[in-house]
Amino acid sequence: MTAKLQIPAALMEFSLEKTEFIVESGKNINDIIRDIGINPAIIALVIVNGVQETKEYIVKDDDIIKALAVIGGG
Amino acid sequence: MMNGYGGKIIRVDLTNGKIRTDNTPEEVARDYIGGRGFGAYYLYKEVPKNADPLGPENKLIISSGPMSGLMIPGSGKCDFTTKSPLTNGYASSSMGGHFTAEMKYAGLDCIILEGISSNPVYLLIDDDKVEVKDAAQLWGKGTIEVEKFFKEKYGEEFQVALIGPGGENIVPYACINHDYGRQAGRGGVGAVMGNKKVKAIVIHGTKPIPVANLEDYRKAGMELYKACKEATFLEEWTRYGTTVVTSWCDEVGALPTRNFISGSYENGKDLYGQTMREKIVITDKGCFGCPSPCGKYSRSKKYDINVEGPEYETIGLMGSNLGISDIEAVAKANLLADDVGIDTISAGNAIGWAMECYEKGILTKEDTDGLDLKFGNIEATFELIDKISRKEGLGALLALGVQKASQKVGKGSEKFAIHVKGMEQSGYATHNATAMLLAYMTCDVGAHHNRAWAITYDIQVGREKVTPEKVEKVIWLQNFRPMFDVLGGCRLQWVELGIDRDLYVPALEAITGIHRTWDDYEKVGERIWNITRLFWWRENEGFNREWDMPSPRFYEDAPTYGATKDQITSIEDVNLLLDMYYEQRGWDNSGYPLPEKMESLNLMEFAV
Repeated sequence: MTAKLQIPAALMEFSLEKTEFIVESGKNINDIIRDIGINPAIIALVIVNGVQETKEYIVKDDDIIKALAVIGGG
Repeated sequence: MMNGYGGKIIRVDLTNGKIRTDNTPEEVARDYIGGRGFGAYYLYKEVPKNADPLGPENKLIISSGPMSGLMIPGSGKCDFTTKSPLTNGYASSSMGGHFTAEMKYAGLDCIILEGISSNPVYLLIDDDKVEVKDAAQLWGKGTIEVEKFFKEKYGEEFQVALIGPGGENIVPYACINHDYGRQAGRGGVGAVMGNKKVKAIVIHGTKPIPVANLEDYRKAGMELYKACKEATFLEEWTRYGTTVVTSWCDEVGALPTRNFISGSYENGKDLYGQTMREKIVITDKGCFGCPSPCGKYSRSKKYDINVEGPEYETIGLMGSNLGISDIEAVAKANLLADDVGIDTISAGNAIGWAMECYEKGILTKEDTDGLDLKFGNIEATFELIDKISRKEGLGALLALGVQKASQKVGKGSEKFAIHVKGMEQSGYATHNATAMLLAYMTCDVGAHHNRAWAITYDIQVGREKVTPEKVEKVIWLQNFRPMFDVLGGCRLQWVELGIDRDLYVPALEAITGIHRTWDDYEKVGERIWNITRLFWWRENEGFNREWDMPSPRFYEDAPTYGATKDQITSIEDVNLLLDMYYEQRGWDNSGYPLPEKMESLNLMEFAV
């Protein structure tokens, strides 16, 4: 079973030029981010189905996960 | 007629009140495009060598770009360039809002202020009518009151750029305010305006901006807006704006805390964007043409104030950097600084440095006008903002900026004056983030993040690593990112919403009628970067690589707490970073551009 992960376009250079991924449920956010080649430490905000969650959140089936990293600074 | 441009430059000689209007030179537009490019060109060409930043020979160059005022996302950026009274080098500060659009509608690409007026004045521009008017009654008043006055007098469609008492009193990091909460904040552009005795520029225009291909421009502009509206992170970015970065900076050890002694703050949660949104934010506010408004209007019930902000930099420098965890107090400090017209980044650094001096016994109550200047003292912070703007008591010392203040006080305080080239460091602690440290060291105005922001990259590839690839990344960012300031636009749609930068190319071509690729734009960016470097060399006898060194705090003082506890970049790595940077830039080992580099950029006429 799977969920959808979205990351910012600016991270594509580290993620095989993709911004959307189908990921396995049952893992936490840290792990699924790491699996696509991104250091989870760079993720500033995680939104799952419109609600803010931590990177320890365990992914459930059909979740839509947005993992935001800040690229430009304040 | 030049497509995409207002077509005119006005020069106001404040010494004699003479106003001259010239056509914008086509070759300058071709080689420097606009905005920051115009500023760098006219600064180098027209301000004579060794001019006193506070003398009549210095100029304040206000410039728009070919994007400004058009229906392209983020087309509300205006650039202010001068010789800095803070650093004695190049200063360029970018301001959002609506001012630049009115410049273009008045047919102006640049407004150049020259000379010094004998009495306070303001400049009124209404299409072709340009007048220098008396501002004696407005001198000494805060920016909020004066901007309201002009809006009531001339109408909401008039836009205002103005200074507060900080600029009038020539605080070297005074800013220029606009739209109640937007600033050209850095490098003392407001001090130069105040020194010229110009309280405000009030502007309104009704002229069309010529574009080369109206239908293609409309299509390309719509494509850009569509991309912004469909961007995955539009909702989150708009909800928090730049404050989205606060929690992350705290988590990774980049949040300036107690004068950058650490990058993590034990009470940081109280300052996070989420906390701020919940506690004080009323609504969002964007600049001209913006589909993703990052500005926040806030209300503090505790202090009974309304303010635009605070945004991340102010939260970092006026909050955690001062040991203040009350977001409402930060909002009030923001409002006070805006109203007196001083840069919250430099002021936050100066107060943080003074607090550290006080806690170490270097400054005592005798020096602080009786203030108990421990970290976390909110009322003392409010009082110091006002004192700095009036150069009164301890405020007079802090108004020098941390480099000169620490040189005056001595006793080792120079080691924790956080600056590069005399400009106070903006809101990212760089104990262990080598690309970001290099970005600060080599930034063309001093320790500012706007040109290259690389902490995310540092953490992704290994924050302590010192590699040619990191240096290459910093140089690419420095050449590319400031191009938005050249074009008169905002970089945030590209960088934070992830809009494909190639979507801008057809829009710019339709506007100007000139085909340029991003490689072409980056070449212009590199040319401007080298001119500004040559300006530093020309204006400062003995300029060399020492000027590019960071505060010793980032190679001697490993944090004793927080995410970067016991982590620090070695002095050897700092020097290695510079060596690699100079080599990749085509500069010699003292940081001077080599002849072959200048030739390749057609810059031999600028050689020092």
